Amino acid sequence: MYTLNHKYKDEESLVKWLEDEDFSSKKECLVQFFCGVPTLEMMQKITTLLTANLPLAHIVGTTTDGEILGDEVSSNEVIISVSVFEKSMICSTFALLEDDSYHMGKQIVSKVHCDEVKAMIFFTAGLNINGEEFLSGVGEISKGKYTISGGIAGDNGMFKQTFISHNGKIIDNGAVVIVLKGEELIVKNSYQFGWEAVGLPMKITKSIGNRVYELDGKPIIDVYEKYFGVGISSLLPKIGVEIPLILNRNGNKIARACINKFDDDSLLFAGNIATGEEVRFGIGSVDKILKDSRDMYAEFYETCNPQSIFIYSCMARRRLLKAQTSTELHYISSFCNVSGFFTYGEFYSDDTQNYLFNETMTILALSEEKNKIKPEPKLSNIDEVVDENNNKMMYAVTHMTNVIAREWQERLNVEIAKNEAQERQNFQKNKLAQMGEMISMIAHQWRQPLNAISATGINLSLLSSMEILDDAKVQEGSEFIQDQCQKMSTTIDTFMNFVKPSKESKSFKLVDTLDSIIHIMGTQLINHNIKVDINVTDKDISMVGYEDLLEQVIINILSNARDAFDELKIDNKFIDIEIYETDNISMIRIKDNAGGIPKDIADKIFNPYFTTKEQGKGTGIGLYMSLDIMRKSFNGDLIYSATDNGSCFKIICGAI
Amino acid sequence: MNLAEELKEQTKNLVVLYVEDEDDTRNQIAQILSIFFKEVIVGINGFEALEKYKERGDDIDLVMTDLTMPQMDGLTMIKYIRDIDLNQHVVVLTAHNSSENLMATIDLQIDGFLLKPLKMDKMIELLLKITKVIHLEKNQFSNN
Repeated sequence: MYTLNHKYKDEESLVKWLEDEDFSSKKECLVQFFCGVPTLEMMQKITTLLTANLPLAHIVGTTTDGEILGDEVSSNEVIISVSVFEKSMICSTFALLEDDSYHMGKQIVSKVHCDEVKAMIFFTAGLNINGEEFLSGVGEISKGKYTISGGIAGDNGMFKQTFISHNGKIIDNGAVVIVLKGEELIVKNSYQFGWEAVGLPMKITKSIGNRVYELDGKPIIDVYEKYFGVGISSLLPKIGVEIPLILNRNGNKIARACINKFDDDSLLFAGNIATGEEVRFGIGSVDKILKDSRDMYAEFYETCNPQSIFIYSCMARRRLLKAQTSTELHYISSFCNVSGFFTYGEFYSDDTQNYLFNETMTILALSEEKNKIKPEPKLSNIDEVVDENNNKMMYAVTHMTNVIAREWQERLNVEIAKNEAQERQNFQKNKLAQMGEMISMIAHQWRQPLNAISATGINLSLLSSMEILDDAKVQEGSEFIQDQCQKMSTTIDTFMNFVKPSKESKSFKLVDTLDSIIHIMGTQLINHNIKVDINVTDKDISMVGYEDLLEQVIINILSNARDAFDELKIDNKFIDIEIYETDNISMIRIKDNAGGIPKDIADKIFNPYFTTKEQGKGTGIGLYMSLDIMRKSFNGDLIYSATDNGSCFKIICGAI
Repeated sequence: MNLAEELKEQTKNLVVLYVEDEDDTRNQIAQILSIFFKEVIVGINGFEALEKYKERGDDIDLVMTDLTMPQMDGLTMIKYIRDIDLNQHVVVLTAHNSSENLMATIDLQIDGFLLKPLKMDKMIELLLKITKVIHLEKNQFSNN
């Protein structure tokens, strides 16, 4: 096989070239034309000329953002590329956008799909076609069995109207495909990226299709301004291709260039970016691009020996590389004839899936001859070219940005790890303090039945030793002992319920929660002369969550009050608990007259480690943890306010 | 004659004021005391017991009291009793963990401690010792 390319001057010379090369006599002839004059008239003119002169050939064309002929880059020209196959078969077809891009992709491939296919080259036209969805429709049928290549038509960066054509027909909203089949056809595809990802990964927090609203929870335009300066927004989408977002899919770095800015400050990208995907900013680095192209040449030289090469490269490269675009093409064009165009998006595939790329140069290399003699390798040193271009500085700044970002991230990670360890420790401490509370409650609860049982024993024993014990007394005593044991057992059950964590988050009635807390804490409070009153406006008021967590919060507040009363010599100590509802939000208000918290420290009580208790008595974690529990586990809050002679804590359960 | 009977000999003419806030414990221990003493006056807290003491103080030979109680705790009550009768014999019944109150009770010149839950032999032993003193004092008083 071979490919010959022609730069269009006028009708006459084109027709002469076609005749001279005798293409019309060839059996399998593929014609691609890359039309740098993105008008309907020009497209019509070229395609009519070609179909008239090569009636049997498969002729496809596309408007461009620049054309490639060898290592030469042009714009506003028309390049005609004719490939003649000897051992392979070609077919082609087109589809128009009807339902959506996905179905168009599926539909066009369904028409031509068969087992012998080695590669398909697609061009699409129409700015409202979603390239990514188109490819996913294609993939539905192709399933990675053959190479997918091609690109989205351009219109010299105007983003107004693009065209493709198929055998004389002009399409402004659809797709064409060239199908390459044949046992002996060797297909190799590759791509080059070269954009450097800079800064830390950010998360897309709001996007619909290829329209992105938020990055890291902030309007995307603000994020661009934050990193590139306030002026950037007026330059978008113009320089969008130069500072794309870079995502990582299956290990392939994929760039998404901004192609439009909306009044609501959302940005449209040349390809979908899903909510939740991680992105980094990309900086086009000429240095890196050229180095990569040399590496690619080396790899190509090792692994294949093509007879024809088609290049579908991103418009951004032409704009960024400018004169250096030729350098990029220089090596690869030393193999054989090269042609192609600058796209608004490149189609690529690996074994697993199809990709819509931006900012890349994709290469489709074809050969029908295994043992073709290799050309001499081109070994000229690219570094010299790069030095000339003064791009070292760009590389250095990019590198520095990344190093700084990484260092900060590492430092941050260390801090985060430290904080997490601290959190865990706090949690343990709190757990221990809670356990201590529980044990002291149990002790109070148990001491009385133990005293009573022991006294009963003594009583019986004395009566017996003094021989004044009667059967009735024995009955009475042993029944009493059994009752007391039951009481103690109930206490243990209640205690166990407190200790074992709730397995599930569920709705529970606050009255029941308070009842069981008073069951185990009541004696202790009574011993401290504290009168506890519970007022309920509605017995059915509930909260949703882990009940044991709320119990911890309430116990914490009650025991704080108890301890505060200890330091106070007052009569009439009380704790009033109210369960009520405001606007469907469940609340518990716990009020006491234990003196309250001095004004100057009232704002510190929710800080970790802050305690008013003497050394060794309080961990200081109680209220901090309680607030944390209410906020994180109940989507609620815990609010302190001072009363005349005490404290008031409002436990609020957030909306369910 | 076993110790219990010996004690009963000593206490059968004595009156005890027993103060305890917890119902079950109070009932059970009051029953025990009533085996020995001529009369057991019970108080359900320091305040109420003090009122009773004010009424019957002259008859009361021994005060046995819990420490932790609502309205008025045992120590406060003992202080008031001391104001009325400096020589009133007092036994404190307390739980193990209340050792922080020990220093205060030393100042108040308590005759003895009984740990709760009670142990019969310890109780009898202490009551024997104290009631002997009480009798000695009574005899001195009557001899004088």
